[in-house]
Parts: sequence; C-alpha cells; structure tokens
Amino acid sequence: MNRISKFQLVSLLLIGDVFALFCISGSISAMTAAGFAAGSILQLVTAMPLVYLYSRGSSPASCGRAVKLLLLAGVLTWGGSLFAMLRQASSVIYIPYENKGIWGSIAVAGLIALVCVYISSSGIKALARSGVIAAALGAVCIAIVVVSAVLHSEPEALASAEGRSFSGELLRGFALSGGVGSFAVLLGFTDDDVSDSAVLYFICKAVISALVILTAVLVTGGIMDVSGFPAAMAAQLSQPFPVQRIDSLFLIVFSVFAVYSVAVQASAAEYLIGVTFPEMKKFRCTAALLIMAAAGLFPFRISDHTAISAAAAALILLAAPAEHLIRKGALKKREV
Amino acid sequence: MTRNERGKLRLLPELEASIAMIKKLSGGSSDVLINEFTTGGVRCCLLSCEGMMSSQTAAEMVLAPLTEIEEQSGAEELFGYISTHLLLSCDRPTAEDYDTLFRLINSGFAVLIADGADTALAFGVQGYASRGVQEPSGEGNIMGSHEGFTETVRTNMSMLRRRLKSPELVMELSVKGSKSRTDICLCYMRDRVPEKLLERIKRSLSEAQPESVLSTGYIRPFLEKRSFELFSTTGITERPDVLCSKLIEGRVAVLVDGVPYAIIIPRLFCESFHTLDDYAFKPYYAVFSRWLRYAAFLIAVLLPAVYAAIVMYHPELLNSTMLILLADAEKNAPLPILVEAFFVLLMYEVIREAGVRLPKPVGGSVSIISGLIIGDAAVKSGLVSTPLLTITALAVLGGFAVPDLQPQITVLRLCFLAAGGIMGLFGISLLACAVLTNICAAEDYGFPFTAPFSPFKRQGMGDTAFRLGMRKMQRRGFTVEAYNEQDK
Repeated sequence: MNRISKFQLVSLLLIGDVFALFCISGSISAMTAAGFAAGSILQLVTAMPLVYLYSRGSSPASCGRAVKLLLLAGVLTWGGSLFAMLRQASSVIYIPYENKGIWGSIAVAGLIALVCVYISSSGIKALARSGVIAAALGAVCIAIVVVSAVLHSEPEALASAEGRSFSGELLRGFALSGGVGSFAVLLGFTDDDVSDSAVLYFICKAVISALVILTAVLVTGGIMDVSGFPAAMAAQLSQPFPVQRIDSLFLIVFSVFAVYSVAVQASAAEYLIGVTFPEMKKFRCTAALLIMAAAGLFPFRISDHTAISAAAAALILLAAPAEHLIRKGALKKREV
Repeated sequence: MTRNERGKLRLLPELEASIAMIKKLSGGSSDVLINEFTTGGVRCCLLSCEGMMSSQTAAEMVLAPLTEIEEQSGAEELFGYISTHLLLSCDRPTAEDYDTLFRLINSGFAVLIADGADTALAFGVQGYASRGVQEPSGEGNIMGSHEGFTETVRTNMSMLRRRLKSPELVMELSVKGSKSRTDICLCYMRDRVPEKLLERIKRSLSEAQPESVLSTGYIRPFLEKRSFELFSTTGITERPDVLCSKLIEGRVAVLVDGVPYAIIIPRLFCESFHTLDDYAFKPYYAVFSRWLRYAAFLIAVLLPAVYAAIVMYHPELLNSTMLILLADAEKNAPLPILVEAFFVLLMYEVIREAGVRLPKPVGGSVSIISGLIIGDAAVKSGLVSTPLLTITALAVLGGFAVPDLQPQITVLRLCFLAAGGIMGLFGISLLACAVLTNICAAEDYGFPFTAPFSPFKRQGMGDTAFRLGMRKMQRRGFTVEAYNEQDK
C-alpha cells in the first residue's frame, strides 16, 4: 500500500511552501509574517469541509471528473509557477547556464524535470521518505540562518520595513499557497488521522512562514527596496561564521527544495491523470512535467495576481465538498 | 529403469546393473572409487569420492566393522542389521535415487549399496582439505573475536552453534545449483525471526534456480528485488559473532558452502556504519565513532565534487586566504580542474585494483611506487596541484572508514564529480536528490533500507544515531520486526 505518515505528508508539503517563500519577491514586513500566518489558519478553516469528507472515507479518486480536472489544473499551474519562481530567483541564486538565454533556462528546467521524473517514478513512499530527509536538511539550514539573523540583525529593521496592509498580506499569504492542490491529493494517502494531519500541516506552515519572513525582514529590513528576493538575500547576508560564507548551504537547500517541490506536484499530477484518464497508462509523469516546465517559461508571477490566485486556492479546497453536497442533494431529490 | 515421484532415477536392485549405471552416470570419472566386496554373505559395493573423505576414518570406522558382519539372509536384513547394531557414523542418510547417491558421494560420504537392495546407506566420513579458521581479512576488529568464517559450511555452522547454544537457533541445509549442487544453510532464531520474513525468504530461495553457486554474488540477486538499486538490501559478513548478533535481532542468514561469507537479510543502510567494536567501547565513544563514519562517507563521496564546484563556479564562497592559496596552486596546473580531478581519481582506482589483484608482496610494491614515486612526481612536475591531491587523498581515506560501501562510494564519487564539474553545487544537489530517492526507495521483504531514519522508528534509534548502554540494550528485546512496513 502506498500510504504515508502525517509527518511525511507535512514534510513534503512544507518543502513546497518554504521554497515559495525563498522565491517571494517585493517588499515584506512584520505585517507580511502576520498575514501569512493568518492566511495559513484561514486555509485550515477553508480546508475543514475537505478534511471532514476525507475522514469519512472519501478520496480524490472518488470525486467527480470535474473536481479531478480542477485539482489537476491547480496542481499543474502551481508546478508551472514553481518553475517560473526558480527561473526568476536564479538572478540571485547562481545556477550555471541559467542566465545563458532561453536555452539555458530550458536546460536547467529539463534537468530538474529529469530528476523529478526519476523521483516520481520511484513511488510516493520513496518520495515521502527522502522528502523527510530533505526537509530535515532544510530545517538545519533555516536554523543556521535564523540564529545568524538574530545575532547580527537590528531589531529596528522590523519596524522600518514597509509592507502592505494586513488584509493585503493575508490575501497574499492565502494566494502564495498554491500547494493546496497537492494537499488535497496527498491527504488521501495518509494512514494517520486526516484531521490531525491537516491541523499539523497548517500550523507548521503558519509558524515556519512567520519565522522565515521575520528573519528575512530582520536581515534585509534596511535594504528592502533594493532586494528583489528578500528571503534569498537574507540567507546570503546572514553569515554566522566569520571565515566562511554559508551561501553554498543555502544554494544546496534551494536546489533540493526546488526539485522536491516540483516532484510533489508531479506525483500528485501523475496520480490525478491516472484516476481521471485511466486509459493513459504510460508517460503520465512525463506529460505532467512537460506541461509544468512549459508553463514555467511564461513570465507569470502569483504575487501580481493575488486575488485570482487566492480565489483559485479556495475553489480547489472547496470543490470536492461542494460536489459532494450537490450529489447528496440530487440523491435526496430523487428519493423524494 | 524407474523414476520416483520427483522424476529422479531410482536405484537398481541388481548390483552389477547398478554399478554399470553409476559408471555410466559418472562418465567413468577417475575420482569415483568403486570397491566391491562381500559381507554377511551379501555382495556389496562401497562408493566414495577420492579426496573428499578421510581414508583413515573410513578404514577404522566403516570398513573394519562392515567386513566383520556375520551371515545374513539377504540385503534387506544386512541393511537392517547395520542400521540397528552398528553405529558407523553420526551422520547416516540414505539414498533411493542416483541423484541423491551422487550428491552424497561428492559431499564426502561413503555410500554402501548391496545386491538386492533398492536403497543405499551413507556414512559421513568427510575429510577433504580445507582452510582452517583464520582472522577475517575484511572486517577489522580490536576488541572482539578474531575468528572468521571458512569455506566449509559445516565448520561455519559449528561456529554459530558455539556462540548460540539455544535450541531456538535453527539451521536448515539444502542444495542449490543444478550443476554445482552447493550446500546452503538457512539460519534463523525461531523465537525472534518474523514469520512472514522467513516464509518470503524461503519462497525466494525455492524459486531461485541458479546453475551454480560459487560465491554469495550468485545467490544474492535472487534474494533482492529486481529494480535498480545502488545499495544492496542484503548484507554480508565474514564474522560469526556479527552474524549471531544479527540472528538475535530476528534476521535470517544464508551460509553457502565454499564461501567464507554469510548473507544477512534484511540489511539496512545504517548497518554499514556499525562495527562490533561499538559494543566493546563506552557508548559515548561508540556514538562518536559512528558519526565519524557517517561524516567519512559524505567526505568520500562529495569532497572532490564540492571542491571542483566551488573552485570552478562558486569561488565567492571561499574566504580570501583560501581563494589565493587555491588560485595560486591551480594556475600552474596544465589541465582543467575537472579533468585533473578525474585523472587523479581514476589513477587511484587503477592503483587500488592493481594492489588487490597482484600477489601480496608485489601489491605492497605497487603502493610504494604509486604513492611515493608517481604521486610525488606528479605534484613536482606540476601535472597535478597539491590541493587537489590532498582533497582526493582525504576522500579516498574517508572511503576506507566504511569498507562495506566501497563499490558505491567509488561510483558515486565519480558521478558527483561530473555533476559538480558541469553544473556546480546545483548539479550536486540534483544528483543528491536522485541518489537519496534511490536509497529511500530500496525496500525488500517490507523492510525499508533507510529505517530507522526515514521512516523514523524511535525504537531503532537507540542503536543507530546513538548507542544505549548495554544493560538497556539487552533488556529492550529489539527485533528487526520493528522496522517492518509491509505487514503492520
């Protein structure tokens, strides 16, 4: 049985969320941290009907075709966004050949896709097991950056950094979590209690989002205007060791998180393609990755379309319960 | 000629015809000894294989008593008398077909056939030349036993029995290999082994139909699943004490005749970093040694790749002193760093291979010539930079700390070097993801290779990341079943 534990589920999903935070662009402030944390809690509330549905034995496979297609579209779009984020963030994270024009971008995206195909083809269990190790590596890296930021930062940067209003940041926090599609799929794979898993995920997400954003604000507060990617720049600026830079550690974690974020979306998409188009037996993962990589070449930024992205995230979380209610209503009507 | 229910040719009751059949089946092989004689008034023949039995034991324990048997009415009575009145040897199997008869003869038994009998009596008088018990050459140990397995399966079985006198230790002998007819012995502790694990291993063994079993490598693939795995999910050891500790944990072992190694199933990744000395020293030192071995593994695999990646693509990560030092050393080297690193690593592999294959005295000379003369000359001539040589030496040294993983380290080191040299740290990260997934995907008989780290199993951490005190370890009654994911 391809079942995963709640800790494996949370690790896989958090990798994608933290990677999105690494690639966050534009100015951020303490309000952003509060907005993102509140956004995660709001997502938990929005996800409750879905969690309830799954806890009663339902799964993505038992949903209607329209819901499956919606989930698939959400997963593929978020996968494409991850590729786009990677391409955009590579201006501050040095990836050889990435800045050599369109062919460089295609080569890097192709390499990531190749590794993702391998990872996804190894099965959800292998992905979950290795994802936990990758997440642990990331946690160590984040801890080093946080410690360094706390030691070297100026607390007044928290107050000086300018950001949007709370409602604006809440919307951005809700929108930047396009991983809700994979959450809706992978939640069906957990062999632990579904509601426990969901609560653990959203709470961890709220805490980590706030931590990463606050660290980035503390380090880059004074130069926020010139930092395109505050979280990535914070990692470059906070150096805990006087004789050795730790950017290398961040670059490794960034690349590993990029691969796992895409691999999670690819696995979710592969599963959804399998249950939506059962006649398609082969190349499901390859097809999903090709679509994602191609989508990643478009200059699309989620942060530029927060309202649309937030609405899409809410739709993905509510689609299955809504469909269930409609079906139930129709059944009752027929009985009457 | 009749065949039994297994399709084997049954023994012929007429002595002449039976001897003719034996000669025909053996193709007149010179080492099959056929001695006809009459005892108890019945015409008999003693069959044996030259060099496989002890002549002295056979003469004293079998031939002398056999020739002194009083008159019997027929072959059946003669065999009845031998079975009930004479204890010629402890191991007394019987053969009803020529297949079994030849297996016994070729295993060092003296086999008695008689005119009018359709069965044969065999007497264990094995006495073939074999290597004595010696210190294991590959699994060094400071505080433990200095005995290693030998090539004789029965000696190896006795070594296990000497250490585990409990009747729960079961050793089941069987034969594998349609041509080699090799004895293999399945060992397990009846009260510790997970039933389903034993059942699945027995099924895998029964499905395995190799032609010959000349080393553990001939049978291990049949015990592992077919998908591509970098690391082996079955382990080997040449130490009986190590094998006993594994059996107590509920694992299953396979001993193969002619091979001084035992196969252990299942095996976990973390076990490559354990040694028996870990249990002889204080826990704090054992923990230190284990983590040192984990670090050595990472150094062995990644150090040359990280060096090439940083020098070629990320020099800004170096502090100024280090940068000047490396730049100074590398500017005089004629080859690009990636080519230079490949050259040094491949040269090392050639030297190692030469040292292993050559006779020991010559192997020592190879080390001296390569290490002192070629290494020194390469640096002095400027062909190879000193920092790169130092990095390579450190990586190779790191690999020696984990001898179990030597093949994987060698290949992975070269792959990571290529990834780091072409794509920098980004390439190393991508390859690391693929390798990590490959390791995590390995799972045989329901036991994940990466347990207890991922999936995390708290019960297993007491003897993995840490090492509990011996009192606690002996009390906890841990078995490998705690890692099972398939049957929970």
